[in-house]
Amino acid sequence: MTLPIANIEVLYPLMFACAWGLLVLTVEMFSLSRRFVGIGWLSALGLAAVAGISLSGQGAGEVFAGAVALDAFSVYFYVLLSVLAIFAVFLSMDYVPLAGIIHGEFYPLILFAVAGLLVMVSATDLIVMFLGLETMSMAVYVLAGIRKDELRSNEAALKYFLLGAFASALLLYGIALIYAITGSTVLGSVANAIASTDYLAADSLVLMLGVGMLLAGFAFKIAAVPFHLWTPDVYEGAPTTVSAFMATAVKAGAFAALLRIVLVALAPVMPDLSWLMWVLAASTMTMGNFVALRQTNVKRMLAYSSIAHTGYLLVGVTAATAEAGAAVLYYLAAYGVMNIGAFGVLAALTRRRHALQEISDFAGLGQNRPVLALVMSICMLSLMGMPPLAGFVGKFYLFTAALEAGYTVLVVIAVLNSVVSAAYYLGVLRAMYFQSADAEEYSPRPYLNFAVTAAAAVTVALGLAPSPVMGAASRAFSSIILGP
Amino acid sequence: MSPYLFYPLACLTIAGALGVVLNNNPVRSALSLVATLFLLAVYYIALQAHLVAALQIIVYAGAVMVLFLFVITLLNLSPDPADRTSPLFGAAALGSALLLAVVLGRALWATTLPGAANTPLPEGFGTTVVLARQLFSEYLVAFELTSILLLVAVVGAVVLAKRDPSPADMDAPAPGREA
Repeated sequence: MTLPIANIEVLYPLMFACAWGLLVLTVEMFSLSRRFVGIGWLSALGLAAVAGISLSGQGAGEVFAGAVALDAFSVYFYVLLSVLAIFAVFLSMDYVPLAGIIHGEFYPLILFAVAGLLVMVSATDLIVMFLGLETMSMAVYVLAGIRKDELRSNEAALKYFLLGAFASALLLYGIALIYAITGSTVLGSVANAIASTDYLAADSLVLMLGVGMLLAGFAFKIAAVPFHLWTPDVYEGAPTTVSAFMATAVKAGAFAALLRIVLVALAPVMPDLSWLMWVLAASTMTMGNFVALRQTNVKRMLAYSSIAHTGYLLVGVTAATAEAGAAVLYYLAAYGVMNIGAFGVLAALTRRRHALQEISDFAGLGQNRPVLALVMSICMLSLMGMPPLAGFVGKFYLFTAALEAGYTVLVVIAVLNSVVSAAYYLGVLRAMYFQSADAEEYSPRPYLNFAVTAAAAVTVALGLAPSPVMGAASRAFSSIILGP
Repeated sequence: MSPYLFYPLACLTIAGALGVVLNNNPVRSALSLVATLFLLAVYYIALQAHLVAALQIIVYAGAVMVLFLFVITLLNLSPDPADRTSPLFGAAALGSALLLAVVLGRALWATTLPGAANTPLPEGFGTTVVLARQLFSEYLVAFELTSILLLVAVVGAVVLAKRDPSPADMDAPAPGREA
């Protein structure tokens, strides 16, 4: 008997992430300080190393035991997820003591969530993908509820856990049904088996049910309408930096896994299901934007805005061309950094253990804290899609690709939605610059300030010079399409 | 598996599962779950998966359920009068469950599953040796990942369950926190 250790270097980034999580978990036990800044630094270092290892170990198409691939797609997401997680860690280094989080397991849990995400984005087998998803979810459930003395935090954790467990069950049922028909859980083999059957015939209904359940499970994780109901409550109740992590890294990971499934395993069926994606995309962005208009709580507003952005991203998944896929990958990066900035500013306004979350709390920020206000403005304008920021470039690529694929109506809906979204994003700007309030005393928050400023800078840079990331995105995307 | 054995067993399994959901008393619910899990093991035996059947009984019907019963008795649950769900909710749940049953039943009825016809089983199917070889070669990644998953679950459970030190026990407020 031989073990499949022929190309174990494929697993190095994953193994390193898990090992580093264990290391940080152990070191944290001996931490003397209750602020855990050193633990944060250690975590950030590990995440940077994960990005470095995956960049250096890039071997296109190499697969370990048919379960995990380290292709350009995986590497793109390994780096993106590591960067987003580093941002989340830097935000947390000030936020954790501010919010009164006394559990040092906070950082190891983020590392384990990242490990789960890495598995998700690089898995080429449905079972492995599911295990990654569960590892990530398990860590995030706990992170959402880590402020045990906060009712809202408890509510967020419980809601996310119960609904998430239900979604996982659906996903698993879908995988089982697909396995029953195709006899495999490996993405490529599933695609071959589907292609060789008449999948629209009445006796393949089980397969379509499986596909439906699989998509429903993922729709929950990416917060697409009608599976979005948990999002605002969970984002509002979870610690702000955890919400930032969920809205950016978790969403990027779930989208990556969804892309792999939709464009590899289900590629033969998707032409007949593009209407489903169309409906999901249109309803998700419209619902997200119109409900966001009515929010007075900025955290909830950002939650609905994240739902709306899921809709925009689904436009790219619907179009499913090479350009659209690359645009989705770019948009996930752009959306990630600008949301880190927005949630980061919210975290920076934490006072006496309570985040200031109402739009009225932003009054006078332009005078009292000009840097934070500038960061928030950049992020809001970018989320809205104002040139020359990253959000505009991302939307431009996405919508052009969808137009070229012939989805004119969907793009019109998306553009109208972007116009509507301007109303609530600009509402924050109005409060910051055209309303005044007395200055508050704030303790120095160096890590938070650094992280949000960096996020805003990256947002501007991604918008002014999109080609390096866009090039990497299109290489990454073509690696799963042309791959085995 | 002979149909004369299968259909009575299937009815019993469904009755057990209904018992889990419909019983108001959590202990009875848990015991129904034991029965359901036990009956499921019989199907595994009929499918030649003896090791899985044994694991099902030892781990699920045995260890996990003992844990469930311990927790239930420790929590000393009593029915909460404020906890009554509205009949509308119940009807909606029943309706969607029936709809799912009809759709799934209809789909499975129409589908001929590949490989379901009497194909001979491979040599040593269901034995510990074959299962172990599969687990440590083809499914090695999934197997190792499961251990990470369980570790995360344990860490999470400890974080959420352990008693927090009261604010007075903690060292002086950290410099960054305005009290």
